[in-house]
Amino acid sequence: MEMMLTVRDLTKRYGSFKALDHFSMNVEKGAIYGFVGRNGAGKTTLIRTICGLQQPSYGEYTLMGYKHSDPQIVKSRRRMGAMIETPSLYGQLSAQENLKVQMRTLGLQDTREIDELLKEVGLSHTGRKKVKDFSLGMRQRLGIALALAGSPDFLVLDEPVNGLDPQGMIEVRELILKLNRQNQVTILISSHNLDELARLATVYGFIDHGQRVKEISAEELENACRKCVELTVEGNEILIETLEAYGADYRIKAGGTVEIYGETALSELILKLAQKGCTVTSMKEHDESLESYYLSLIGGEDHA
Amino acid sequence: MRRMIAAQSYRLIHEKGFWGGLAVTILYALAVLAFSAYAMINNGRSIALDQLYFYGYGLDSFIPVAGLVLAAVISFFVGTEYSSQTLRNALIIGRTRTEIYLSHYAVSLIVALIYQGVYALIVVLVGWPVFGGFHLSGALIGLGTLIGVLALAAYCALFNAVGLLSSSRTVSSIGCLCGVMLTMFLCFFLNTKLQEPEWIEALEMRDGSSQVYTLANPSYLNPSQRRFVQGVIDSLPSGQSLQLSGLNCGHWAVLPPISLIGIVLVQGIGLLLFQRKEIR
Repeated sequence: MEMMLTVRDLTKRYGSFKALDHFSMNVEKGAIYGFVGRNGAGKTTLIRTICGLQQPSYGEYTLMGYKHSDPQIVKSRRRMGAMIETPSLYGQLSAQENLKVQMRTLGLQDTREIDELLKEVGLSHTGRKKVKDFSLGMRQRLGIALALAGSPDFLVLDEPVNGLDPQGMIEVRELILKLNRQNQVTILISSHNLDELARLATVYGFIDHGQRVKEISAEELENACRKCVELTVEGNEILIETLEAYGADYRIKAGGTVEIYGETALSELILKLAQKGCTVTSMKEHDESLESYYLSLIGGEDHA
Repeated sequence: MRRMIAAQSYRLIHEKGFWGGLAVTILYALAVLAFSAYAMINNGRSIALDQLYFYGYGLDSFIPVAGLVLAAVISFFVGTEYSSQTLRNALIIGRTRTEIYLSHYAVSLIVALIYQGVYALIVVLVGWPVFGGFHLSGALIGLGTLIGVLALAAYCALFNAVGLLSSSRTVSSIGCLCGVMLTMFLCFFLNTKLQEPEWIEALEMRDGSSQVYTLANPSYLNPSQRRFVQGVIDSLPSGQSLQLSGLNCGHWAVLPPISLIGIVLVQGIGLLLFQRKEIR
């Protein structure tokens, strides 16, 4: 399978701090790669490095067949588009003018593509309004449009739905899916919005403290996600005491709800709780979410 | 690089700072003409068009007007790439750092040439009928123009380097403006030192009578000091601009090579540092 991006043992140091620590990953052509990690895990550092903004301290990466040390890598970069953290826009220019600057940098003059891009991201009505007067969501949309200029084969999006309203999130999701399915664009998305990512990604990469924790396909994730029962009770203490006695695998969620994993004799559990005076107010069965899987991988001890 | 220059030129014409600098240049040209005409008519002063032409590089050997305007416009224009983080856009799609650096320099040079060209056009078109034509030969006017243009090119190299190496637009704007002003005062001070006479007169009172005698000026620079101080003035774009504007330089032929060496050095060092700069 052709790889758009291969990262091997990539390390990036800022002084004595290691932002990336022998990190490796593979992004196959045609994939939507969901890049997941907590704040400060190293996601943006990796994206900056593969976009050529910074040099790695150690290790290598290969972008569409060219190693990062090869001067010919510029050929790969011309087939790439990216939006890193906040969109990079000229505040004094309008949306169309920003796109014109980008198109000229690419060596393109097609104004029809500009009109289509603005329509695609829902900004065709902005006229001569300066970007400095745009809302956060409008800037985000324009940032995506800039990343799409020149019809890239590989798109890197760092928090693309940040600041977007629900309608905007749906539109961006549909745009990403359309680009991937119709135009075979490979996409690397870094996002904290796990629900949104779960609707998009075909592969997930988890990062923590600059190291790869796991790389897993959507199919494998679905198989790995455990079934669980979600119980809401009056007073968690009795439930937790009972679950500890049973040796059950459980996780306490916000709002007093507890998720219990694996096979559990529910009838026996509920009777035991009733005997101890603990009332079960709600019970639901569902699959483990991406959020739960992520927390089980990365750990939520910082928020315990 | 052609693409980068095209993109940056497009941005330039939409930049308010560029048009502001052009307006200042036009106003300056008109002010120079107006005040000179007033001095000629009311005070009977004789004013040559040559002097007004070279005022485009500096005002009366004191204020490097062109340098100040370019410092403000170029440092702001280049520094915007950091404040808006748009430098990333070009790097991501494969433009090299050399292309980015040199294209910004090229556009800075275009700004300098436009401003200087507009100034010269206004002064010559309006000034010729009022003050008469040039008194200096065409060759000297040409050489002077070359010196002036290369001094502006040296300014552009410095401002471009500061703008692209400093991650803060505010710091680079203040740095460039302060740099021009500091070198302006330095050149003025050094020039004053060069103007010190070799001999001074002293008055001595003895036995009720006064006697005037000549003695060596302790502030007079010896030949090697004079060469050093002149060298410092010649090596600075502000120094060259001010000498040109005052038409008080006796060694014009030396100045263009000095500017060229300065430009190559600044470009080389600036480019080397920019290649290694981490962009956020």
